[in-house]
Amino acid sequence: MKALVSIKRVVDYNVKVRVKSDGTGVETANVKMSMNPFDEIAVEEALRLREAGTVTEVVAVSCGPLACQETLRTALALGADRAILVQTDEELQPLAVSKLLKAVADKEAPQIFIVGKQAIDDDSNQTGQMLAALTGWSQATFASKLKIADGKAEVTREVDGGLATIRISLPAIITTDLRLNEPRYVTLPNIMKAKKKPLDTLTPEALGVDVKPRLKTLKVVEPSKRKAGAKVADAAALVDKLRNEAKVI
Amino acid sequence: MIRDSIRKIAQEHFKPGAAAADREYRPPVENIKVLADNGFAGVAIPEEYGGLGLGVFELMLIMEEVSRACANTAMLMGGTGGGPTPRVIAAVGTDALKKKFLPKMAKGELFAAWSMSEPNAGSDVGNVQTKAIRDGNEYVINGSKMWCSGAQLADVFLVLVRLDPTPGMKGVGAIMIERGTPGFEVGKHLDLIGLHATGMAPLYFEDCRVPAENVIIPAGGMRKLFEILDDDRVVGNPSICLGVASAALEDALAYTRERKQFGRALTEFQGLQWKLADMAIDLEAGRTLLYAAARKAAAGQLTPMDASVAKVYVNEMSQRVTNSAIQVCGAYGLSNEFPFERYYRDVRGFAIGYGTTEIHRNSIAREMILGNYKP
Ligand SMILES: Nc1ncnc2c1ncn2[C@@H]1O[C@H](COP(=O)(O)O)[C@@H](O)[C@H]1O
Repeated sequence: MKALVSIKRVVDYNVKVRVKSDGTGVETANVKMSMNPFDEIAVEEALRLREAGTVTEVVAVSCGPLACQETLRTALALGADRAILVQTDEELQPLAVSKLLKAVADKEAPQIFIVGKQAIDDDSNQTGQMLAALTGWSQATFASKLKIADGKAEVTREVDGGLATIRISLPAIITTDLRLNEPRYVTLPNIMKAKKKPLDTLTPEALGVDVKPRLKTLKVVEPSKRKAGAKVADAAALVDKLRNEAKVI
Repeated sequence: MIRDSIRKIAQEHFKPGAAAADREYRPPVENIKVLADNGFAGVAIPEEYGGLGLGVFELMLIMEEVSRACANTAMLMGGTGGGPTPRVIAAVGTDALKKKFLPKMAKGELFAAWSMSEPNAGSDVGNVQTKAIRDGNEYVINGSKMWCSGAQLADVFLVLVRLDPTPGMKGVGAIMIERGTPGFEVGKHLDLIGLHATGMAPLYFEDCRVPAENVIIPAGGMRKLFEILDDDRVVGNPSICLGVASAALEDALAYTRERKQFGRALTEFQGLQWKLADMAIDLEAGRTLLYAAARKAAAGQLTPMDASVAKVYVNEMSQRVTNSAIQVCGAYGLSNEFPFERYYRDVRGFAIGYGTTEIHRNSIAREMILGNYKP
């Protein structure tokens, strides 16, 4: 059984993001970029499935500029068998990414496609769901546990009220939540091996996908600054402030 | 990617325990296991012996990142496949010695120490007095060694000894001695200013018999050793200084951004801004120099002068930067609840180890006077 995992290159989670002075987006020049953390979880889950003998091949896919190769190399160093870059310098919105991923899925015919629940840069939380709609495959979002047996996936999902466990048929799209697993470190021998693993490049044109943005960003602004807090002497003073100043109780 | 990977491992696993290891004089051997589990034990060991055969540059990066989190761990790493001993074994050892030691070192299962200094012979290697006298198929060793890092945990020691009565450097060679060999004893922990958790100790030899095949460098072969050591001057000693100095500036910057005095953030004071900028200039100059030396070493083009220039500068830079880090943090800089005083203590010894900065200045001057350097 083949597993595909999608990998987005995003601004590293440690970086304090700054809005560009012209308000068109966030500054990405000279900023450390890394693999979207939810995609690290996706890779880890696919590797565990392979180590358990359920999956035979793990293929990492990323869409974006040439620099995404570096992020794909990280996926290879974590243990993925090969990688595919759909190379484009266009701005990619979730719908475009889903279409590209669908085209790759058509070519690769995986039984399971593991996608991060959301990208930490745009926080869209859309790609996995759209991909499921486009492929017509079953989907289980926000997975915190995944079991595969008898051609079915049993997925525990993090939902508002707690946990929901569902069983879906394959092929399926799974999106990863934080508690699904704890990704391993990239080990040094695997970094060396990753250099020799295949990394193929495709283009949206070759896949016949129109990636033109459908949404227009009007303006990007910094979140408003939090005002300094105040210290209160005791609980009574706090209740007083909440009631009379903040008027929330 | 190598840097990202080792940084993450080091920051998550080594940094949290660094202060306690130093305070308790307890070598953080558990960190060596983490390194080995993630493939970082066999970095410099050739592939045919189970290592990765990485070059000087990668090794330097790895040492820098480990030191940024915990300098004691970096020192211990010198006893694994990243340190000088396996590189010497790989470069000049017999097949038998390589097979015996390298595969285990590559897995982090065998810890090797390296012992050069004696009470009366530090940088002055020609004055080594520990004697090894041939007796049939064995050498009989008598004498003592000082300041051996990792001594308390090492399984095997590469020891510089006088193999031949010829005076000076010509009589000096090196022999591998295993822990537990009768007549060989590891002394009490030596308490120096910093790096309290490296298990540093003296070694004592009294009629200690070692098989002759353990000789790794015959008498008079020290040139060869120094060539290997030239690389090591880049990989080991100054990389650790660079890592610690980086940590000092990183932490000092974090501290000064948080702290307020006279109603303003410390970083709003121009005097302090300039100090931080000077620290960064100094640090980056040292980094550039060391990286350039490491690149040359990787290409086999490192001259003794390059190595000495980088070592001296980075040794002294790290003293300045860690010293300034204390200064900008005031009394907190002095407190052992904060890491600054430890950084300051940890870097001090590097200007003395692996050739004092004075000895290196001598060799820089010698190269200059010989006409081997064009300004
Ligand atoms: N450009 C991209 N290339 C590959 N995968 C992507 C890309 N953008 C989004 N994804 C995948 O979709 C997930 C959710 O992203 P989003 O819908 O943008 O929040 C990410 O965690 C990735 O697994």
